[in-house]
Amino acid sequence: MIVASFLTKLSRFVVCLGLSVLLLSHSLSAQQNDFFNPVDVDVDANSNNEPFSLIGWVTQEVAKGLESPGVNFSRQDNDFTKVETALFAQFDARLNEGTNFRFSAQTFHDQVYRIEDDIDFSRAESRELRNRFQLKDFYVERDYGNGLYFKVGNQIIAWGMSEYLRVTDLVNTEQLYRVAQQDLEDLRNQVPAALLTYSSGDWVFDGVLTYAAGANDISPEGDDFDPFIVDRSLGHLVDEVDADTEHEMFFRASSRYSQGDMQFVIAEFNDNELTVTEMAALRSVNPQIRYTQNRMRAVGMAANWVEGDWLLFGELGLHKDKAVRPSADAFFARTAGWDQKDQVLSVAGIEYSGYRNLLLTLELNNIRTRDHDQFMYWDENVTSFGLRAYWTAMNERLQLLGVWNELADDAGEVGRLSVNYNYSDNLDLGLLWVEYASDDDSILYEYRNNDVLQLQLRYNFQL
Amino acid sequence: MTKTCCVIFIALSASITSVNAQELSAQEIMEQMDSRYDGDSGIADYTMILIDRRDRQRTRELKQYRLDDGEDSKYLVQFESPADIRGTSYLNFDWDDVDRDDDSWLYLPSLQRVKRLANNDTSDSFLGSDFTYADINGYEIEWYDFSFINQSDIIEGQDCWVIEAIPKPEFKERAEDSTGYSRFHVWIRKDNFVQIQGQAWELRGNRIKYFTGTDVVLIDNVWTVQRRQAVTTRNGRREHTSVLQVIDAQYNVDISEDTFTTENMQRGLN
Repeated sequence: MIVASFLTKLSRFVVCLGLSVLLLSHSLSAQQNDFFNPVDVDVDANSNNEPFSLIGWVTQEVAKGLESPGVNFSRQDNDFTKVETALFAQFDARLNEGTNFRFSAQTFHDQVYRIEDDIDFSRAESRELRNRFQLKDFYVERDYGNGLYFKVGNQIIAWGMSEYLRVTDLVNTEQLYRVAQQDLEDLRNQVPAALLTYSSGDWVFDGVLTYAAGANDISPEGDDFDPFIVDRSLGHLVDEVDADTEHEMFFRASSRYSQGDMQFVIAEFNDNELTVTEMAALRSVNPQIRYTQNRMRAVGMAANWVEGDWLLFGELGLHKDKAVRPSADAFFARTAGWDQKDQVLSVAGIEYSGYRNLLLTLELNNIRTRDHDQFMYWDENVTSFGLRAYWTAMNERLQLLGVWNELADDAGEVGRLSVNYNYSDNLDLGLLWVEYASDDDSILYEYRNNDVLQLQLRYNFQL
Repeated sequence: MTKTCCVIFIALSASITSVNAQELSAQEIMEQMDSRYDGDSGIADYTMILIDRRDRQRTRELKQYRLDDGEDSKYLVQFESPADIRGTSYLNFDWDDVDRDDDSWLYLPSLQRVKRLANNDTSDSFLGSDFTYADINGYEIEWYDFSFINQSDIIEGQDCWVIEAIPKPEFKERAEDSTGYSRFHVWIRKDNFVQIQGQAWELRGNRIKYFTGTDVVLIDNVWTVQRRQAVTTRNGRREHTSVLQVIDAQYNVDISEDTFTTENMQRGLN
């Protein structure tokens, strides 16, 4: 078949050589004219000015664990980790000129809890992850047209420029059920908040008040990313309690210049990572460890600068009263909770977009703890970095994203490679591979065997 | 400094045809075409259709806002469909100063924040289409030498000049970096100075692009090319095609300066 095809091509080539220059030029001219000819397309000539819209998608994800996580987890073999069907819907409405309303939500059903019936899933896993409903956006926004803007309800407010370290991006909580496996739109959780924005000249001022925003979503007992898996394996009783103060305040001043942007942030908020506030019954074989959100304050700035094909960006911040993890030796000596320290967080990043349809990003992060002492788990200075390559081909039908993240203080590495193929306007296919690595002296050691391969099918709709 | 006719989104007017067209040089024709009045602002709805070599079509609906401030221009493009890219916005400040790079930002709903773009290399595809950012934002006329290929070529019954643009030696690297083209030809109607065809030679991959403009109509006294088509070919074979169809266009409408802010990129689309 291949030979026949080759001979056919060869014979065409010989015939072509035999043609006169005139015929050839005529042929090329005709071919060129073909490329100028209008291509038939179906275009809806009606402009859509409806005051409302409904969009959404249905996704089917199947993920397979590539290794055995270990005896402490429910899953102890390289079984399926997810056979999840999800429906997302978003409704937008224009209530009047300058006033909009949005409601979006997502519901999930994970069939893995039925399929993998030989796995002894915890009750919490089945309860929290088999069927799940998540309210996403639910807000009203009003643009007063005089520089004043107000938005109230469940929403995402993403500030800062860093991808891997939260210095000024402090408002929203994160979804950590499947660390590094989430879709981009699921990284942040919407929180109940009121946002007031005032623009004056080159400056924009934002004030945010949240209430009962809660902490990051974490995996339930026994799940692959259960953050308390070590506590539980040692027989500790883990107790999660709400933050003492439920409201948080954030302010930002931002400005944009030719070639660069900058923003300044000041905030009083609850740490979205749970930290130990109290330990009880130390003499018991099952000590009780109480986790909550520590109250913190922060001041920081973020800026970027464009120079040719390069984008430079950075963040610098002071986080006050961060509850810091004690070393293993000092862990049970902190019965009144972890020590609180001030930390200086810094980010320096560079992005290159000079090669066709390729975006390369390198980000370096550092956390320096003031008044560091020997009882802390982390070193005084901990450094991490992230490397990211994003490439599109076939007119963005094909998208490849590779990420390598060296975690702070040599705690481990996470590698992520995803391929997405836009088959049609409605259908997307995706493949994701995530690799975790960690040394045996790391607190992330338990999660080193959570490598996963995931297939995704997504059907988009719009009404 | 001015930019050439290859700004695909900008409509063209024919209000300056009092000059005797037959006496113009190629350079003057390009300058005439570039300097034409296209309204001080505009809002347009477009449908963009992407067609691969197997004739599979993907359709994007987008809305473009434009506001001129002297010779500077601001553009905001918002995607309205399909669902997976709805809400994607591209903001561009196109400065008249040739030594000043454009300022650009992109908002992707999936990223949930506005991202500044380093877009010195404007030869990248504009959101998956065969048009590049340079095709949209324009080229600097001063970078090119223009000459006639043909003084009269009849296209769709319209008499056209065919002009070749080759980068001047001193601007060659800059022109090639920002457009990705080694040279290009344009077909310009003599009656109204509207470009209705173009051909551009890519630096990489032995590719040639063919641009076609049809359905040229007068809207609000501005000549508007309602259908733009770009065909990318490689070794004489069609690789991909993009069609940009104007659904609705208005000029000299009242658009607030606040429309062209990064904050507005994240706000409601309705």
